[in-house]
Amino acid sequence: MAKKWVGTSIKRKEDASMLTGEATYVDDMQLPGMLHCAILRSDYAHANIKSIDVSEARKLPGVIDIITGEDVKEYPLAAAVEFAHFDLKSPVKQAYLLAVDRALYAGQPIAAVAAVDKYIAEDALDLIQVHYEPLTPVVSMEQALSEDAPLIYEEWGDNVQMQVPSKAGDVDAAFAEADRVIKVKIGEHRYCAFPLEGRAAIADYKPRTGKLHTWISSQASSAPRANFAKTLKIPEQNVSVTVPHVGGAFGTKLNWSVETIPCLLSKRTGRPVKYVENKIETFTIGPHARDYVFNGEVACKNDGTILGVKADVMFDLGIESSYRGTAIAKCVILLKTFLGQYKIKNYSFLSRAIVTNKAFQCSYRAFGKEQGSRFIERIMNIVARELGISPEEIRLKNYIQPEEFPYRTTSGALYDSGDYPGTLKRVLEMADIPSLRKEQARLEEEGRYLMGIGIASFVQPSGSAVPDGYLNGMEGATLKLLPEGGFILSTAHCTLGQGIETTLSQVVADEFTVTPEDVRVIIGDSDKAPYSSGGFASRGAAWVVGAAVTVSRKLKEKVLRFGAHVLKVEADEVELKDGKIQVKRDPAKSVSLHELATSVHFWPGAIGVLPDEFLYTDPSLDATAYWTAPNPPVSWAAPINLYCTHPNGAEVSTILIDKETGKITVPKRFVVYDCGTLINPDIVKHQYIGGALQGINGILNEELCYDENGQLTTTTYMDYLIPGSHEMLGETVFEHQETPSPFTPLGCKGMGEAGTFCSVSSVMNAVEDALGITITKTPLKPQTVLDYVKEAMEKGTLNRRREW
Amino acid sequence: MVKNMKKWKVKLLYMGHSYGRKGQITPNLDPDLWIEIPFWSVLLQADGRNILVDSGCNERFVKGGKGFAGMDFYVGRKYLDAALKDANITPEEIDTVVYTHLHNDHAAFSYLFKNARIIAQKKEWATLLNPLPSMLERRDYDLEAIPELKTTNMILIDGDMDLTEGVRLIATPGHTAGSMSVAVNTSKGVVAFVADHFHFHCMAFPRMTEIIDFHGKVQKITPAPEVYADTFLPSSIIYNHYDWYDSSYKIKAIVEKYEPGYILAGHEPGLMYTFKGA
Repeated sequence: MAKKWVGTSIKRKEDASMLTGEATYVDDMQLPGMLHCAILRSDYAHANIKSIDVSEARKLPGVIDIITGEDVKEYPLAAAVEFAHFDLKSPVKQAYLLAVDRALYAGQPIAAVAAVDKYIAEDALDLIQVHYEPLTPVVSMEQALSEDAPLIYEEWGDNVQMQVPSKAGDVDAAFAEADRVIKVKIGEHRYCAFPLEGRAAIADYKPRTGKLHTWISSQASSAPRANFAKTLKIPEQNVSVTVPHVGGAFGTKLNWSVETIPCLLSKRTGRPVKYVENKIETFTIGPHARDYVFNGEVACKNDGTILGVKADVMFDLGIESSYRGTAIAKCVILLKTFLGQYKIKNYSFLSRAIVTNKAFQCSYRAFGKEQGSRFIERIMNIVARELGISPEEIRLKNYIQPEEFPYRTTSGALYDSGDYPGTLKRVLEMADIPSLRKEQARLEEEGRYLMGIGIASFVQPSGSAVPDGYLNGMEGATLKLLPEGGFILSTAHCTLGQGIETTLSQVVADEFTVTPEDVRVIIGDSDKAPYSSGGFASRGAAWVVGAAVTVSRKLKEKVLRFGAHVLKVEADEVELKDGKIQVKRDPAKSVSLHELATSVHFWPGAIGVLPDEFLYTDPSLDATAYWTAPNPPVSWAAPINLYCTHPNGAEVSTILIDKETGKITVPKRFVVYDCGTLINPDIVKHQYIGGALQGINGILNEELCYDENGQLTTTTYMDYLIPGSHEMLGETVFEHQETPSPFTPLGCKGMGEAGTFCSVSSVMNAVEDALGITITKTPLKPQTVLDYVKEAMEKGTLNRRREW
Repeated sequence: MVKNMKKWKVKLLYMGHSYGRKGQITPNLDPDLWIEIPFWSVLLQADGRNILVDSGCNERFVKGGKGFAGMDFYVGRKYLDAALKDANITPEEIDTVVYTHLHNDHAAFSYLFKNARIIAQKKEWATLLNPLPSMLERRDYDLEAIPELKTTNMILIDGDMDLTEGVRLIATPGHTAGSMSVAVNTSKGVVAFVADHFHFHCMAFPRMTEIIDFHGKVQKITPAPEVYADTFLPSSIIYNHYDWYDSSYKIKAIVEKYEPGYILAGHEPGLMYTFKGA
């Protein structure tokens, strides 16, 4: 079968409706008798709640119901990831929808109002009287670990929620053998994703039947069904979750604690309740992301061979993050990702999740991978500079070689395929470093701008299956061939803008030799499709495509049997071509899928359309199938392989530093990316570029700041700069490579997050190339950059000889 | 041969043999022709790399000298040891073991390959974990291999894969759900080791009228088209005939694409006379 659609950049099916306003988001929906919810949030980062008086608020006409901590005690939140296999030092016993007795971060939900309109609901919040007894907040990791730190959870004895030690090989011997031991400190500030659409939910509980239907803006539909059912004590079969169009998610919509509030209000009032978050709420409750620090040591030889790595990693999770979000999983994911593309046999890591009185964390695009990749890519450059070798040479020295795939790393990750040296060499060739160096010298001469050239390469673990919670690896799909010859593919996966409706229809179209227009993809409904873990960790191209291919092949087998029966030949004598089943040796003898489908549906037995064995058992043109990765993780016990595919790539970024204003711009970037078999090359390219903008802007302009009282001070877009037209990146010269994965049916690898993290390393490496000093502080806002420029001038590193 | 691609050396490894009637494998054809049926593995070598494809049969399947279908079996660890010694390597030097399928006469002694990745198909592993009653009855699969394989660096793949330059793993389901073949680029041409997809060459070329037996003698056989099957000759051990035919065409397409292309059948009686290595 000739591949026709897979590999072709057709236009996205989704765009027209989203661009014209035809698309339906949660806030567009109105239900009869619908109430509106508003949430009262804690003014304090840490305080005992002595009392809450809602009597005045209840008197306000139009207020139907108000809930406080007292009302949610019987509904503890269901945990996102259980970590039952871990020896959790400090498990959280219980977490709730609303603060119970104590507020743990500024912005935490304290009470919720359901009223006939949003204005009345908001007004009612002003009438609620809360009597707080302020407590000392913990606002930094240093403070959290200090001896006299207030304990957020008394019963733990400290402020560490989880610590995961991990080691491989013989680290001590590696360090003893080393020519050099180089210390590195790498950290990142707190920032997060800002999808255009914040959280939004409509809950409609029918008291007579006990059914709850919810419409939420979410990355998954099956998982929240279980989550709502478990938390609200409603049988899961009575809960439906529909995810309409989603206005972006980027990892933030994988926790449903806030969405459970309107569900509870609907359960209490018996009326539909809508909650749509405003932007200040998005800032204050996040979920936030990043905010970590690595203290590492690298043992290396003078030729650049890395012998071993030691590191102590601390994450500031904010308030605990196993019930409210999944951030705690980073402690483990990091151990699978920090080895990057390199053969590092010996390491010893301690990763610790620290709790503070800040908003909780959840995932953000490149969750856990961003940290690992940043760490190793920055190490490569810092070590190369210390040793006086080029960043290219040190990478080539330590890369896993093409013939070593599939390659199992010392931390248990199983890399599928790739050509790491080839990719790096190609991107350097495209960038034409000597001519960039000339341009750099010219600008240096001119005086206003400092130019930097940075390289970085990466392996992107994608398509996760995290055991022990809803981030598992279940992915199913149902495919139907309809009487008039069209196909419907149903999956409970969610579309967040990845173009998955387009790519899935391309995949099915190829399997049946029809066109993508013949295939409609239904997405995001827990009732209409088999279980799906949801859209996260670049799972789509691996798992959902895996399920789509598997179900297509299952249905195809049946279609060929039926077609052969109609054509009165054996099943192995027919083939599919141009939407027809035809006899291989006599293509003139054929039956179209349309004719076959009509016959099967309308007169299955009468004229012998179906073979007898199907007529009495399975007279359908439907199939349901699941796909699982070949090497799944079976438990949390190390070493396990959390991701089924590992795309890779390399980048060269050029940056300009304005010496007068300190502003950094990114005029040109070069990227070579290998995510296995390409389904729609343009979608891959543009997701990469979008991810890069998100990553680079995060490191240059975005920062969530807390003051010493634990109050978030960046709560508007005036204080927090999301990328606008001025922050857009310059040109990206992009090239695909295709090394198919042996672990997925079409050889595809998950690709959604790639741009987000390598771009950050290449830009930071470029800044260091411009300045000649090690950068440790982020974000690189103009004032910080000016300080670094001054430091470089004082050290005289600006006009130095460069290693490459 | 593909010109600008790495050339591998292919060495045939003898893992023992059984003695039975040809008709037990090719039903209805030559039921009274008694022949030695060897177990072949291959070793692929290039640039210091050693890839072993299949590793013979464990002696625990031989009861009173009899193995599968009551045939006399001459197999075991000593054959593997001798074959590796003859190839001048140790089990530790093997970096990759490819199991064409996990039948007990192909996937033994995996624990010996301490430094190797062991590669098999996902569907084959699923079958090993959950064999059909007939498979248990005939002891096609070695259930003791399950814990043994779990302690190795086993990597399961789903479909085709370029293992490395010049070595392609091709999913060829049919004989078992997760059978695969290995196509290798050599200086003499492309060699496809198909293991039990075609036990004998006469299954790929059913018009053959004679074979060279284990002792190098020419034996007359009945060409399949006289009885049935003028495309391919299915053996008595095939779990999905539809898949098997598809896979047969797939193999044929590959060997016909590269001039010259060879098929190495996993139990061809006189393979050592017709194939001297590549």
